[in-house]
Amino acid sequence: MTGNRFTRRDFLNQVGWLATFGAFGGLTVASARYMIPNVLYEPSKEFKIGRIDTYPEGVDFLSDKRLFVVREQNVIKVVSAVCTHLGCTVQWVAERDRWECPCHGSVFDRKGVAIRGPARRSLLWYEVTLTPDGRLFVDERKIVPFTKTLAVKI
Amino acid sequence: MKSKVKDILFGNPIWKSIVREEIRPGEWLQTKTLGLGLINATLFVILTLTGILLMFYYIPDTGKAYQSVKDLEYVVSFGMIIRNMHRWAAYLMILSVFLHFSRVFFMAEYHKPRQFNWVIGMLMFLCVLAMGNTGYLLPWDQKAYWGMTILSNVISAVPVIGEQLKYLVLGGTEVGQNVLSRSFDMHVKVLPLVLGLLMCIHFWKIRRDDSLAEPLPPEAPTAPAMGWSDIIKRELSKCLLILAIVMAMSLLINAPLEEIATPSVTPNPAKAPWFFLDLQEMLSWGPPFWWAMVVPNITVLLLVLVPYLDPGRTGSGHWFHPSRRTQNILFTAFVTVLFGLIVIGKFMRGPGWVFYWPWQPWPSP
Repeated sequence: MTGNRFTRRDFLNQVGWLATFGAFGGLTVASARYMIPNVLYEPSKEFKIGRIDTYPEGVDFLSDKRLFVVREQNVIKVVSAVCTHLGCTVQWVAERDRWECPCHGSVFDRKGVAIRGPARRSLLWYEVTLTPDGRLFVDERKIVPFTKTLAVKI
Repeated sequence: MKSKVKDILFGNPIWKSIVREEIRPGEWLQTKTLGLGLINATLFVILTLTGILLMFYYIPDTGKAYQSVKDLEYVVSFGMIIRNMHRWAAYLMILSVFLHFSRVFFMAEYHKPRQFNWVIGMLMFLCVLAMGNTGYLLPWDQKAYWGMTILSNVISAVPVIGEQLKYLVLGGTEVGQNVLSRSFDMHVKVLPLVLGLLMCIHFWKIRRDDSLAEPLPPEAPTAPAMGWSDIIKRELSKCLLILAIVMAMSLLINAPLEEIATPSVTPNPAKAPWFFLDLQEMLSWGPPFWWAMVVPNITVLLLVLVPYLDPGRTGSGHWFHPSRRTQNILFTAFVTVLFGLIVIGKFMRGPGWVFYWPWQPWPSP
């Protein structure tokens, strides 16, 4: 090398390394973005669950949607069956008028409030509305307080 | 500080274990090997990395495979490029492995003590071909489905055990989920492992058998001595060149994807991937026993046994050494026939495998 001069060779050297790290860096960034899906094939978060008269008085379990449909005469409420502790499916225990989780023993009262066990947050109640053709429409993106119910004209 | 980093990057034991130190590095690079071995290794790395990425979205189920490939192309960020890179690197690899062993042949570098390394290399070539075939099935499009149908029927032409072999390869009696699962397993786990192992043995043997075939004759120009960092930079720049070529192809040309596999419709003509068109062309000449079994297997056997069929000692390290005129002519003839068959299969065969000149139009369906 000729002293401190920045020669053509040095320039080409630096361009070369820039290109190398640029190429590898670019590919790495592209690969990272690649790993984040843009489209999901998971089922929709809003769906119909049939007419009110198909549901009995009391608490009914909808297994394929992981939901409980709670009916008191003509008033309908829908609550998630997913335990707020670590996600197991809770079970309704009619004798004790509460939901119990088999995984770690959490207990939720008929309002969905966690009264025992590692769970702290209450079960999620979802908004249920009536479609023009008389069917119940659940929207899991809308979480509502326990007191918000749907009164249906039978 | 800077020289320490350089030391670690360029003077580390990994590079030194692959290349002999006692030889002046400059001389070693002057043997004009075209760096094809390095090109193969680079392509292998590209294929492995893109392959791993593709595996995050590809689903090996006959009902979902095609859709997952379509998703990769249109829905996943950079999916099209990654898929293209995988396809083009695969084709380039088959070609470059072929060129590599042709180069080794023409430079007579399979003589003692390198005979077994040639065999290892041939096994690697067969692995690469197998990976080409198993990978081809995975998109589950028409070409994949019918290519595998043809292949499985070629296998059934093996005498005595043909039907059982076909049953074993397909995992059943028809091209369906089982062959897809098996091909996926082979392509993604078994063959890369085997190929990786063979690569290690191949490199180790090169180191052991002397990385320089023979000292250069005195009239050859002597190169100036090169430092380690220069060698690594040179090799790295070749890798980058290959990467650039693969990326250019991937950005400009999309890997083909035909319609989804439809068992009721056989495309006419139904052609195998280009690297098997030579076999498919021969298949059209006569009974599969001769043209699918005997001729190809004898060819492969002869190729694998080249160092033992030619026990000479001359010509190592020289291109087209005059003492090897016969061998070079024979091999060139073989290569010409091979390429010729592929060209015929690609450009001169129309519906019904009827011969058409490239400029002749095919009849409308």
